[in-house]
Amino acid sequence: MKSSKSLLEKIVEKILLISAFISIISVVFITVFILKEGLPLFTQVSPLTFLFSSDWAPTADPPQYGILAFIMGSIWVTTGALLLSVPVGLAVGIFMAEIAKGRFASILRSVVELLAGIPSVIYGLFGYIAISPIIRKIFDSPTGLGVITASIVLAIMTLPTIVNITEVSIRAVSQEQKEGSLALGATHWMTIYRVLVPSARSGILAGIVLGMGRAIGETMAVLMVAGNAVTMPKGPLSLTRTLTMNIATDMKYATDYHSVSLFTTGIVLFIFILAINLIVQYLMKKAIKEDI
Amino acid sequence: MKKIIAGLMILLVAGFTFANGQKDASGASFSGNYAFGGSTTVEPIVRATIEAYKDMYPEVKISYDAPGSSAGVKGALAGTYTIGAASRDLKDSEKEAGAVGTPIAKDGVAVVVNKGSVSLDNLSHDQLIAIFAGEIKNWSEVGGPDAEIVVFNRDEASGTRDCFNEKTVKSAGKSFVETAAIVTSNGDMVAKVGSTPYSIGYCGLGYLGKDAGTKSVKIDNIAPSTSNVLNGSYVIQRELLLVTKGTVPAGSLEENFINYILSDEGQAIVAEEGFIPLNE
Repeated sequence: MKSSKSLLEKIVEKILLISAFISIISVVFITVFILKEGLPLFTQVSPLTFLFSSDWAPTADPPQYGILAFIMGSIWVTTGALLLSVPVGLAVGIFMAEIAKGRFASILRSVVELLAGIPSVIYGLFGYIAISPIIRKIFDSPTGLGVITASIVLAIMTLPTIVNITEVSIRAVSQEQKEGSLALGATHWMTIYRVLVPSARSGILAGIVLGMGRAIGETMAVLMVAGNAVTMPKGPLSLTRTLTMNIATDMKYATDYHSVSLFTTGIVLFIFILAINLIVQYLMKKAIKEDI
Repeated sequence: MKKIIAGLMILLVAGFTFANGQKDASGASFSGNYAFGGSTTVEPIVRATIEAYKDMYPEVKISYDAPGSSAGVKGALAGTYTIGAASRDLKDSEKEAGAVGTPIAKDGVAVVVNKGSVSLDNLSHDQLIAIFAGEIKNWSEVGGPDAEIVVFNRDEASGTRDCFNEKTVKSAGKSFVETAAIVTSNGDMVAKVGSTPYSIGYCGLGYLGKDAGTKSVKIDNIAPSTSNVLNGSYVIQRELLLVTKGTVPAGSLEENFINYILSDEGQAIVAEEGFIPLNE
């Protein structure tokens, strides 16, 4: 009996090891693949033109490959989403960790989890049917599509990430700190915003940056509500196309260097996501150190 | 949660096994799985034909994926689709690569506007060009209400965009206004024009009337109708093509499918879907 258990253990260990290898190999494979497919573009266009020109006419003669408008689109939309989701996400996260009690708290938690599980195409549909007409009325925008609508949809999509990580980080603050504060006569509210939130700040920041990663990589939902115009976004009501939307729109028909340029766009996106992940890891490490 | 994931995995694996199993079951007539794809304009015709096909060959499964004409031609050449569909003429480079197009119907590209907010029902050809080139920005400049014109355009994979461009903006040596919102299919176009006040867009004849919020406008007082496309007076028109790589092999399902659409029954389907049969 004992030996069979250890055999099972060994098998499980091996399976875990193989799974770990598969994930590492996948990452290496994807990196090598998009670099190999995307880098040859720079024999045609200089990296500076590619990054800092906003002339995107891949099927024109001669073709123009400049993705600045899409980089700006991604930045606009992501910034807008964070401006909306961070305050709400923090509030809900703090509320769930410290104030909500019993049945209500568990219902709230399931709702947030459900929000994370809704497919992005449903968010896109919701944005198009429900949010864009409201934006059209309030801001007198002709289509109701564009940066602000995309930001609202993305804000709802990034909420669960920010809420969950905020909640976990606040719960992770040691009980002694909280009790110490309360013992000194601080109110619950003072304890929350003078002790708990500052102690959990690295974790909370990591949550925000993780949400940013989700917002920048999201494709389907923004494709449905951002308008997809190939133009430099000039403000919150501008139509816009993000990096991911550009890849999704053009990939289905692109040939030759046009197709290569989409992989190059992918490299830029990859670098963005990589930077975001490095920041998250740094913040997480800092958070753990602070705990100790 | 873990149980649900495991359950889904089992379902997925089972699904693949069954899908593969079907391929092996070789019947007397046609059987197996086929992937077609391309133009969103041609989609209603191919879908209806696939329905008719289900009755004739129950063992055949045909999928149709509609990412646009250029994707249809690209897919047919790359082998991802055994038949691609395009709502524009093949380019020389595509013909050189081996693409062969078989016309299955004629179609006009109708200009549609938002019904509730745009009162006018005629535009001159020049006004149409100026609107889509971004030179006319307000409806009052063409005799409509005093409101900004919201232009909807299709993405570059679209054969409808290609045809519309050739016959309007490009023929005047201009290019499309950059700030137009881009939609990705004919269905998306009529849905967005139908729900956005003061908007204008264009679609294949088969999509007219599919959204109650849209109406078509005449160009130079000529309505986008079957007879006007056939007698050539409505100039924004094209042929709808099925595209294969090289000529289709004799006795294949692809050959049978194309011949069926070209037959009287198939052409009746074309007319039913609101497009113009070849023999008219």
